[in-house]
Amino acid sequence: MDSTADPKGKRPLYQEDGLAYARAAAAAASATAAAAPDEEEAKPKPKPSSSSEEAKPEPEAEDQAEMPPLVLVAEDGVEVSISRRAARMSHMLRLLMEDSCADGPIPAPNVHSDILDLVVQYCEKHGPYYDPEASERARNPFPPFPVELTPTVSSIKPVTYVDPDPHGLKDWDKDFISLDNSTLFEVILAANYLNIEDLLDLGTTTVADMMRGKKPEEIREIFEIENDYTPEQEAELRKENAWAFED
Amino acid sequence: MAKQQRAGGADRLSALPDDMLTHILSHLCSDQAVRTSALSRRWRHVFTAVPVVDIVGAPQMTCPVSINHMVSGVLLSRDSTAPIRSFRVAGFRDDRPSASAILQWIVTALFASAETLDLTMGDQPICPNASTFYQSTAADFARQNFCTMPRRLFTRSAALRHLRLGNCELDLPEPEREQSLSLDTLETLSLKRINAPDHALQHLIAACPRLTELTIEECPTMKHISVALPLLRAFTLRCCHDADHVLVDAPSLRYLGYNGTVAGAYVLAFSTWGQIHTLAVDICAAVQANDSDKNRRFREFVERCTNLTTLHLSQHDKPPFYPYRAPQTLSGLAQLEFSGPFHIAALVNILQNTNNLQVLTLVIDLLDGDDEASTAAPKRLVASAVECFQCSLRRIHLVKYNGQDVQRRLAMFLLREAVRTDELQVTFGRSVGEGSETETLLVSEMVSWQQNLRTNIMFRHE
Repeated sequence: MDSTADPKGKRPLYQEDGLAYARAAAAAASATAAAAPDEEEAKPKPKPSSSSEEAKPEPEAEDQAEMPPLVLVAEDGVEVSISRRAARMSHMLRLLMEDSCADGPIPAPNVHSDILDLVVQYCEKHGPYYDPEASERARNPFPPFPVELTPTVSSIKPVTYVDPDPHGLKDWDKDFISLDNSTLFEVILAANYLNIEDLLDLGTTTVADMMRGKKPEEIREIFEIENDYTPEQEAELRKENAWAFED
Repeated sequence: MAKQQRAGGADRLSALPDDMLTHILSHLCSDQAVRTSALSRRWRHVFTAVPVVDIVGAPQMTCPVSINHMVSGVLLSRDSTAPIRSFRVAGFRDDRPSASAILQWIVTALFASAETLDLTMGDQPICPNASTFYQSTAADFARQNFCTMPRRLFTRSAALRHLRLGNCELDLPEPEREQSLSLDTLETLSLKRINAPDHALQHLIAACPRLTELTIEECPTMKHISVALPLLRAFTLRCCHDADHVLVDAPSLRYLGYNGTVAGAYVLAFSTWGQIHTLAVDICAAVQANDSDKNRRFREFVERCTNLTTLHLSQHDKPPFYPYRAPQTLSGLAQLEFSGPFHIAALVNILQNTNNLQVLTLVIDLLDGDDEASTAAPKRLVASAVECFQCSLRRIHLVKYNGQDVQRRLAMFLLREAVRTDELQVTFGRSVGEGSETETLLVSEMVSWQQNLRTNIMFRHE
């Protein structure tokens, strides 16, 4: 199905640019270490309120490139750098940057370096188009009760909602998330640890898609889940929620 | 993850912590989520904490369960102290729940601080793209037996942010009474086939001061509405063919979606057209190609939005209708999408005016190439100088590519002329099988037409 001779096939051009950008930022940063501008620059620029729907022609790389990238340390000791713009996607890293605690190496003790590479790749790809204020508003505007809710996807959109995806991110995501199961779960855990909402949603919806429409036996087979119910327990369970097991 | 788990133990899914698993289950329908309790002992109680109740009709079951039974089953089986983030019951066509059942569901959901509520009972279409059909079913509309949404929904919903109601009537409190409508936190409202008089709909919409998205769909009772919503950013009107006048004072409006007839588009009146930057128009009635009056009116409608950056035009029926003289005000357009039976010549005409276009999406399953107007088109294609091809066009997306002659002509034209494109994405329609010979032929043909070798051509299946 690949048209070009490029062995990566469906991977779009931007992927290489993203990592190259991060490495270039690291190189530039080491040269201009003394001239690092104020921490304020690292905060997301106040875009117009509807920015998530406008097509941004070019990501503004200039001011962010001057800030040194963050360094994350995986559980096996390997250091992975991530640009500040991409790091905004992680709530945890964003808080660290705002509190100016992000200058040294940041430990990610539960995450292997391969997984961390994948996560950074995702953030670098989505980073330029990410508006933290918009997603904050979408998730948590005025919580009336002090309840910790896990973020979910559902929100009602108008029926003819024009999904503005001018940068082809949805297709890139689809390629990105086609991983084997164990890697996928580790990415989900890493996204949870670093609190990257979008990647967490992407990973969990992918797993949900694998489970949708399948009977318990089929799900067990896909995910190699061992059925440790005794037949009596299983029968009792099915009776309890008989309406769901009508087949 | 600990190295031990990576070495052995194949069941990584169950090893994830509970909140990850509930997050995964929150994307599934509730009956599916309940069935996961049978997977293994670890999964027995995972589904009870899922903050989503999602029951969509016609589940895959051999003997259908009544809607009352299903919803109460879900509500009783879950942990009552766990909050509900989203509550949806939709799609049960013939099964009408009783009024007390609906009240109970709404009270439970609101008490559990639901933010999203979707109650769409039934599913009979009123306007499947033909106005005559609409008239007859609209007349029957008022005679149907509807559920009534209780007053409680509109007076005590302190956390509700997204609300969708379909196929129902509304029991709204009178404006003068003590307990007035209070939907202060509502951000998204979607009304579909609501059998309520004009003033009731207007009262409801006006009671949502924070509304950012409003959708009104197939409401035959709506004739004249006038609302002021300072925060409204998206407004969609679909197939309300009986409306006379819809005035929306929305200074923040950015997105407008309209689905209906050309004449119906003039029903809309906004305070500021210049702020709208995304317009999506879907014409559901057939328009003759030589009906210049309708074409002119349509062009004027699009021209009213002077600052568009995204435009989606779609039509379902032949004959093709896209005007040959393009709207004038498209110089700021960055994204354009065409869908339906359009002529290549009409496309080129519009592209001549869109000098800053960056993304072009064409849904080409109904591409028209049969009549004589399009055989005259090739002359135009060669002679035209489409500026955006030379400068700004970055991505082209062809959807539903089947390999028909006219589609291949279009693809060849684009590959030869649009030399600055970084990416051409081709999505094959259903008739091209994955890995089939047709696909290989089409792919190699397209690669051979490629003028600019730096263009990345990507192929995908639906």
